[in-house]
Amino acid sequence: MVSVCEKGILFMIGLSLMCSSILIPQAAWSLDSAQRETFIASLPQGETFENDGSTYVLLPSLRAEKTDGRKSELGANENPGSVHTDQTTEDVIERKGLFTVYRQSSSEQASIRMVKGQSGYVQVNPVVLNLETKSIGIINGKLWLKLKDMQDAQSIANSYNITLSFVNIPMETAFYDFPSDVNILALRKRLIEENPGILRVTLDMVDRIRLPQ
Amino acid sequence: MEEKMRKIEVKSLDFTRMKRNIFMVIVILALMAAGNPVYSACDGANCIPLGNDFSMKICAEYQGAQYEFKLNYIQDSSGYFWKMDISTLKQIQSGAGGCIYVGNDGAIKICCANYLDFNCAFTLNYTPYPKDPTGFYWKMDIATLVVTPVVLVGDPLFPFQWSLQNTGQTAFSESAGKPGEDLRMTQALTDKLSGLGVIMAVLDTGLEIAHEDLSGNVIPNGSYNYVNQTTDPTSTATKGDHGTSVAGIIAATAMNGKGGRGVAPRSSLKGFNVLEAQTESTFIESMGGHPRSQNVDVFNMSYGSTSNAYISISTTDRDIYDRNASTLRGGKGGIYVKSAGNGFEAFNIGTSAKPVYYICSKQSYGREDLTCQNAAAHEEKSRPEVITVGAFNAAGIKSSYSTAGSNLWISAPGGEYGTTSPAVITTDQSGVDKGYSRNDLVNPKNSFEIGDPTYNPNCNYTSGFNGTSSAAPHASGAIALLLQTNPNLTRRDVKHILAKTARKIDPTSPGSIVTVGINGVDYQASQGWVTNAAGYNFHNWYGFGAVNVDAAVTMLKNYQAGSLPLLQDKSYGSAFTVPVAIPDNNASGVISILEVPEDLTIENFFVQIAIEHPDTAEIGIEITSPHGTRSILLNIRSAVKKGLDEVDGVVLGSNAFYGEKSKGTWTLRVLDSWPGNTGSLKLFNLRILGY
Repeated sequence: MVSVCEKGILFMIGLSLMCSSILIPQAAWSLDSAQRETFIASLPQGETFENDGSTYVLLPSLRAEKTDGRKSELGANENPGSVHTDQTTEDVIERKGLFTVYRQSSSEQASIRMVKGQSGYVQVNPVVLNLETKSIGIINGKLWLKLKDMQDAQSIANSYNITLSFVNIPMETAFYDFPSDVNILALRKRLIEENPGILRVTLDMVDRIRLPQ
Repeated sequence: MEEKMRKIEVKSLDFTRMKRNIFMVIVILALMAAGNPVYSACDGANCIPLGNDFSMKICAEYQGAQYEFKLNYIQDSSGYFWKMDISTLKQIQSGAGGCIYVGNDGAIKICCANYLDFNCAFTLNYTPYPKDPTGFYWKMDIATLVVTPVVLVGDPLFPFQWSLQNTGQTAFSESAGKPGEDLRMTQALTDKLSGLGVIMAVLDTGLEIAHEDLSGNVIPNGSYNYVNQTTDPTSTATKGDHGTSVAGIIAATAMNGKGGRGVAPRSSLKGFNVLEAQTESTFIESMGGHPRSQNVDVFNMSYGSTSNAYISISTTDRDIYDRNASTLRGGKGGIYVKSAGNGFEAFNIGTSAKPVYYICSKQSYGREDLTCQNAAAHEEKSRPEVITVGAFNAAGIKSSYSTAGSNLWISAPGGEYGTTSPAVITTDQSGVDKGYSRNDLVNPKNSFEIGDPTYNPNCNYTSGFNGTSSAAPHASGAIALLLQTNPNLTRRDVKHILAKTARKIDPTSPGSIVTVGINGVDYQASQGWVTNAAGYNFHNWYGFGAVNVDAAVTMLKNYQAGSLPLLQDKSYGSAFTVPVAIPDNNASGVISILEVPEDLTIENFFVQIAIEHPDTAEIGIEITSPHGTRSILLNIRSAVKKGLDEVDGVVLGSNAFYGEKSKGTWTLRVLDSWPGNTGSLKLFNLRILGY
């Protein structure tokens, strides 16, 4: 636990939150949870898929941009690590891990790509919605495969132009990096459909946030 | 048979004592030979530690290549021999530094080896050993032995570390603790148990690897930074690095004249900044999934997900726990230590940057005396491989914030807030301009936090660290001492020993017995200590009680590692064909019964349940064993408002039945404690791991 709050302070924060009836939304990230849930539900949805025990749907009108690692100390309107694209504060949906999620005007395929921003290129990642927890997830550049035969780990990498990072033999799982500009959901589908030796495909994500406690 | 074993053990103990005596004779002879004063042989900081059996692990450079191996001491009347343990011999990468140059004649000049309070220098001559002509042996050249008493400089903050030795100190806060409310490790301190040889991973926000009180225990290149892909996870934060403070509780160096000391001050540290990156892969890689974490003995996980819903774990997480239980530590199993949570009163369901505090007494049903967050609503904290740790304060009662739950295993010091009553003293980010203690704090907790000129002039330490974040590393450090004492302990052994030796803290526990009126009928919503049919004390606030290091180490002396019988995994029950209605606002609730035919000794116990209800914060779930032991799995009026309606059910763990026999009638009660919403029970299964 980061010892920042005395009991009294904690109580006052809670009390003030309770007393503020309806928040005026200047940006999506400032919505309360019910308003936020409604807002997210109103967004266009793409492909639905299972991942690591949860069901997700692609949110093609959102994008995630990678920031530096200092998010925990940032104020609500700060984002110094990002060279973000043409977004304004009003477009910020959420900050999650090393990412900031924005609304985007055009729908893009589910790939990680480099986009030219105000002060250079920035990595942009696809955004999904966890249909059970209603939390936003960000697809990262890694995946792992549970394999029937671990001998297949390298040949699968060769066939799909993905890089074998390491294997965990007891878990019967091979871990891979995949390149930019690959449609991740299409790749996932191909891996499942074309390989009976792949028991499970899992895309790496930022979804469940763990906090110091 | 037992008698024979005992004799062997007694002989072995005598033998150890005899060896120590012999070594002391050597020391005295050497002192006499060298005359007084003796010379300081070399830099004590780089000393090779000699084990209790005088074994030593060395790095040797021979003909340009570097090797690492273990030398085992052989007692022989013709001299003092060490034999290479050939199974440990491995070539290592050149350039690591610190290796001993070995001459063409095979002689090894030990510059400094440490045993107890002495450092010694001597030369080992490669020599054949007639009784074992095929082995590789070195004999001590007694003429070269130089012994130097170690200058013990102490730890200036140790007198304030109530968590290690509570003498009633205030620890820079306004009030004193209660003597004895600590880890009970006086004997361990006297015996200089240190966690030597045990590798600890701190899965957290970072680890300041160059910190003056940590660097000596940090494994070079053993950590990983998932933000910049280097082996240095030093945080770039400026207002405190949680991981650096957690690491200090485990392994701050002892007797170096700096700061305090960790529970296991010679254990080895690896830091993984998983909380910075937050991708699932970083957690998997750091939990033994990647080779970089597969040599770890104890994983300290002072973090958790916060939500007002039940939190399941992912398929891959289940997989990694299942596999690592039988693969890590040479098959003895990785040990995962997890904080219970800081949500008894309130907790953050937002983010660090944008906190949103959920306060049960305001946002739920007005109760301040029932746990708001419930640890049992977090599947990961019920895993058999995980040791979930609650926190107690310097007065010896539950820390005000410590999340309760039937799946807690143990409790350890966590303290309060460091203003009116003590928090925990530990390492902080170095420098007056960084960390929890800084010279620019406007409202510091106490004078220590802004650079006390005597005790904290450089703000390298904090007296304000707290939370179950602090309790978990205290338990981790204690486990390191157990593993040092007996490295063969399995993960099950460790949990068993902790449970068996735990101290019944806060014995009357008046605050934890809570009766709530539900529609005019009294219902006991929190029950304090219970003693189960196997004689174990259990409390949803404390698990089996407070970690008792000395009792655990004593128990180890007569404990056979790996002696717990093979586990069986049994499940009972099924989904109801027709959901059973839960009566609204009714203390009697709905009862469901399961008969268990097998008579296993229970080690891990789980209820699998599915409940459909618009607001499960109203719901209470409890189960009573065939022996009459009652366990409240989910207290009424908690913050768990949703997520219990998964088709396959959610898992609620309880440790209250540890050691009891499973055969007989198990009685589940599900009740609704508030008028208005109604729901139903759809599934009730039991899963028992036992033998």
